[in-house]
Amino acid sequence: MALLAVVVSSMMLTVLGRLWYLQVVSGPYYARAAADSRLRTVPLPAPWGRILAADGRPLTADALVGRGGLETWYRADLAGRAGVRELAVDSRGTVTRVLGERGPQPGNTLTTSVDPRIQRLAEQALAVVAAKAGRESTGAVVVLETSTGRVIALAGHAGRETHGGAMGLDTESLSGASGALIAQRAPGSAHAITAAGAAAAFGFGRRTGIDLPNEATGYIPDSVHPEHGPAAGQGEVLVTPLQLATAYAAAVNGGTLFSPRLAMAVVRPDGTVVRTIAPPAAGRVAASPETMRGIRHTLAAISSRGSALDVHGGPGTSWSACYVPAETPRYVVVVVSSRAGGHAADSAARTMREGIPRLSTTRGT
Amino acid sequence: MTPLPAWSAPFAARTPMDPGLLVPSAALAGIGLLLVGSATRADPGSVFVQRQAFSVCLGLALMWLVSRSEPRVLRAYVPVVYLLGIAGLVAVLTPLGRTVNGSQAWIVLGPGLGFQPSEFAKVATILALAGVLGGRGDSGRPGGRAVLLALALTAAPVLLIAMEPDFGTALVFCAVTIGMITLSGARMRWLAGLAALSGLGLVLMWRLALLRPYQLRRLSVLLDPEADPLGSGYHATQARIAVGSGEVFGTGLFRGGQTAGHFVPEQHTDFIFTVAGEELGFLGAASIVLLVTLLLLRGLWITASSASSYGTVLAGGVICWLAFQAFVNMGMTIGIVPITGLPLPFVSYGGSAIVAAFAAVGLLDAVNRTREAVP
Repeated sequence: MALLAVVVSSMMLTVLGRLWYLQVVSGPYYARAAADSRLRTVPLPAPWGRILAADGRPLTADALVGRGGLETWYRADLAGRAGVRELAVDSRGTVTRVLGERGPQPGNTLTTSVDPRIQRLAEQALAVVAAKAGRESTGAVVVLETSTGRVIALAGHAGRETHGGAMGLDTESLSGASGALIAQRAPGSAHAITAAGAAAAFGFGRRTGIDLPNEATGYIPDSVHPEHGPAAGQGEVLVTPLQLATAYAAAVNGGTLFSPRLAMAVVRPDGTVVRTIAPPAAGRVAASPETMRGIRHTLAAISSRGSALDVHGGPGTSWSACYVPAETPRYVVVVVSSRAGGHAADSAARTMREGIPRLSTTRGT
Repeated sequence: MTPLPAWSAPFAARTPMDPGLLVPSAALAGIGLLLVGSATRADPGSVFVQRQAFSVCLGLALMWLVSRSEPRVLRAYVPVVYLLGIAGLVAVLTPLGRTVNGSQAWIVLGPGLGFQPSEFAKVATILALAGVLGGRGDSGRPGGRAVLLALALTAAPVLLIAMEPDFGTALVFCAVTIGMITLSGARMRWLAGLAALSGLGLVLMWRLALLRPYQLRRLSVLLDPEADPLGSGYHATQARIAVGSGEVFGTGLFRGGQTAGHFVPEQHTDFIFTVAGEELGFLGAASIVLLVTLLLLRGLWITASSASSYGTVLAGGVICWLAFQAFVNMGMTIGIVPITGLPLPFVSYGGSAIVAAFAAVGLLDAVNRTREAVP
């Protein structure tokens, strides 16, 4: 009898003790587990911010905008923050109730200095080059504002579809960036600024720091970098069209070597400006005033004369550059074309030189 | 003087039922109604609560009737009751029986009208064992033949129930038999023999692989329910989460998210305790344990103070039954006992179980009256 009483009591005390452990000691843990099993969270993706051209309309230059372009570089600003919806579910996963919702935060808008008309002009000029040169060719057009370092147009390809049809690939630089960044051509007779002593001064051999991914560094042979020793010398200076453009800009803006920027500002959907973006000065050109004047004069003279300045590179590469307008250089244009002979780049440069002032006079209409 | 029916006893006619029995059992049934209502609230148009209420009324009536009866008179009917119980268990194995959750344990007479013979067999077997073990021998303790007869009387329902198969219920019979033989004052050598036999039986079950794979899994899941949370451990894990998430005060009746979402299977029947755990918290669940304990302690007191050894063994058998079943039921929902299909007495949904449990309390009250009548 007493035995039975002890057995019964200890059984009930065991249950009580276990209940105490489950509900009081571990209660919060199980409450969480219960909530988790009843809760399903559904992410609400945030709409990406827009990328606007200088005219306030969406920038349509796919090569600049998409993956590998501005969207990658300014991802943190454009992506926004995903929202979340919390749903109550039963054991079969059927939604019984909406518990709450935090709406997504749309991404910010990115405004750029890209002039859509000049950009289109550049793309068309490039397409003509491509059509003339055949499928083996790659090319690029860079238009910078000389006084600020802002990018006005940047056309070029590394394997992307363009207006004139697909161009050949620069197989060494297939990373998807704009050709203007990665085409590394020996600048041939642009000797004024690529002469061994001056190359480093103009910022060649290092990235300009433009706000696009996959920029190439170019190359300066070791005779320019004596510390590397003479044995490693490889020959020609390799520069990207963008590096050349920044150097030409420096020649007319008083020597400031800008790190070019496409973006101008990050703006919230409600219109408030998060931050403005200006091309920082990456350095000052250490070339002598005579050299600078010489460059300015050469480019200006040639462009005003109506024939592209030239600059023939090694076999298979042609360069052409000019200031627009020639007298008061507001923009610098650099064109590069591979395997096209000199005329292809020249005609593209001429297209730009003649087209840009026309566009400028109609601006705002 | 008008002759009263044979089962009635004039000395007890006007005495009310013992509140120590009535209050806890009725309170448990009341809580059970609320919990069944909560567990089935997500099924519109379900009539679980109404049917449970009907069962409770039926049970209360039967309890009252049984409590009025004089145990010695009742004893005369024991062979009939026992044979009826066995007949029910046989019938359930015939095509008359209905299989629910893997056990062919129900006899369905019509739509919504079925019963579980094993529940009534519990009462019948306890009555039969009490009749055999309750003070027949010269020394006031049952002799060897009585013990053997008792074992035989238990073996029949145990085997029949094991064939359903419903091992949880079969175990209840074993626990009751061991408890009643112990209480009857049988010699220690019989108990030792019984213990040895039980051990042998367990070893045989193990060696002959009579345990089915799902039963082995339930045993291993008891040790580590997280091992297979979506398989065998699902039941155990979900039950534990539901009970634990109630914390101290519970989510409030009819407000349990786990209950509403039907995360615990069978929560209105065998797993009703999880509803109490989640919605009433530790305070509510502990109150149920307390009510069960009060009922059992009152029953133990009646067992101890019974005037006859028959009453002692009878009341003790009822206590063993209710205590074992309540412990196993609550224990399996909180992970200290393997999962078996046993209802929580008075609380779980199920007419047969409710009625049988109340009848058992009626037996306790009847035994209690003999003490009052013979000071």
